[in-house]
Amino acid sequence: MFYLIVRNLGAPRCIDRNNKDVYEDGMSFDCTPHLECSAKEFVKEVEIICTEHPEDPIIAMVFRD
Amino acid sequence: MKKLSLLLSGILLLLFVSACTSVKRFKSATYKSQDNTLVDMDLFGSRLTMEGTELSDRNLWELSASAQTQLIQILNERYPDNGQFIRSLNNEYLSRADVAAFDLTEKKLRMVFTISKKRDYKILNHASGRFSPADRIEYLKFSLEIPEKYNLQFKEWNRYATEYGEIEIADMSFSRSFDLDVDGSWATKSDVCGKSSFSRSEAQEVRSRYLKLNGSISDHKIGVEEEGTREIDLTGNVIADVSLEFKGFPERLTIPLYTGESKDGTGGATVAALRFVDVLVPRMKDAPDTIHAVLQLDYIYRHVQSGWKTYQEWDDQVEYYSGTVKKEIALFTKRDYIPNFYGIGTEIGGKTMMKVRRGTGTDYLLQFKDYPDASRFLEWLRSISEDGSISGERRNSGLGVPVMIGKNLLLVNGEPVNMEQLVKTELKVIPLY
Repeated sequence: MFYLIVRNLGAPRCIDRNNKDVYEDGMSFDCTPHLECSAKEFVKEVEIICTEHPEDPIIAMVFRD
Repeated sequence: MKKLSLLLSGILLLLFVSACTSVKRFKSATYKSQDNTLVDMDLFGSRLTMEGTELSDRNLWELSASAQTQLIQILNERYPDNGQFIRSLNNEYLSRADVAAFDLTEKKLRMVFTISKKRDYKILNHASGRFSPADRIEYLKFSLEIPEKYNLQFKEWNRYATEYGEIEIADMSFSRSFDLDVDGSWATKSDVCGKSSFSRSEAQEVRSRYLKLNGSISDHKIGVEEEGTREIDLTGNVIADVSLEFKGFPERLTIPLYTGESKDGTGGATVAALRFVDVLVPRMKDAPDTIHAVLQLDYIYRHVQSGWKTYQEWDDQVEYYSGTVKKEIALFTKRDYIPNFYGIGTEIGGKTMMKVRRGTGTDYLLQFKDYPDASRFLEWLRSISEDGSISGERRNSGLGVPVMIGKNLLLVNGEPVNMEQLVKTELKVIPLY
């Protein structure tokens, strides 16, 4: 399982998960959910857009279990 | 003939006095050198506050008079009993959830800067000394720059004040001068962004110009240029009020909606539903303890070579020194910009926060606007876990039933939590940041 995690004000938040690594730069996500994730291995960084505040892209991290 | 010569003498004297006071500012002037030790500048204090209005509870007493009258008549028909009637008036009929969203990224910042001269009385009468009591800071230009890494930018000036006057500004830049009326009251002349300029010279009042000011603002930098004209020393405190804006990051707050009392009339307020409100908080990957900025001051120091032996400025032998001060200053702390959101969770075996699964199947953190909101909700959770009821309705299936509020399911460690688990889990209110 792959997890998409954003970090704000020092607090990590898992906002999406998927069986495949579908995450790429420029993708849009709802950044408000807090999903349960067992992120263990860092995969990559991607620049995503929070749909609630699309003006400024944000760096997110992709992890896998 | 004698009268004519007296008249001419008088005119010449007037011209001489006028020339001395309004034009000539020194007997001789030379630029000596750069000396960065003569003037210092520091941020004496700062205060960061939120812009706009905060959310607040509303009840019937905030309605208009006519609306109050109509509602009271309706409620009186429903609640003829005095006690019930009074309690119903205090219900929160309108909740914070009526507000669609609010923004915690816009802040107001007040900064008090102190500008000081080096007063070295030990070298007062030394020929090589660079201090005399008649010295003054004639010109200064300072800037404050916030590093881009903080995702923080200046929006606009609000106010700028020195000991010679105060100006209210609401724009990107300003250019003003402080004058003193003959009656001693302060007046300003302004030219804001070239959009408007006005002058009060039509009033034909005699004024002497004291201070000239220019200010500018860009995303990450503010700048102020001050020139003190005749005998005006720029030493002292200045206050600068600006608006700031962080880049935003979305959060979803939980708003419990309470009914006035339980349906059986024996308990306290119960949660009838959960609403959710989207807010924007400052976007920063980490939360540094202190936000720093770079303060730079360039100044011109007017040293009177003759020291004490001066009456008016026009008889001074002046030596000018230039200087630069550059330093990193602490602008404000984490406590000032972090939202005061609270959640409910436990810290036994690691920090675990309660979440809520909405009807759509998506999980969100159960987070509240402030401590009282979270504390009230936790109190309600404890009360239902003690008597096994939600909204006053006793559940027949007992303590093993997952706690649901409307279509929202409460979660601990990602799993639905029941009343038995609520009792066992030592829940408490925990700050989120």
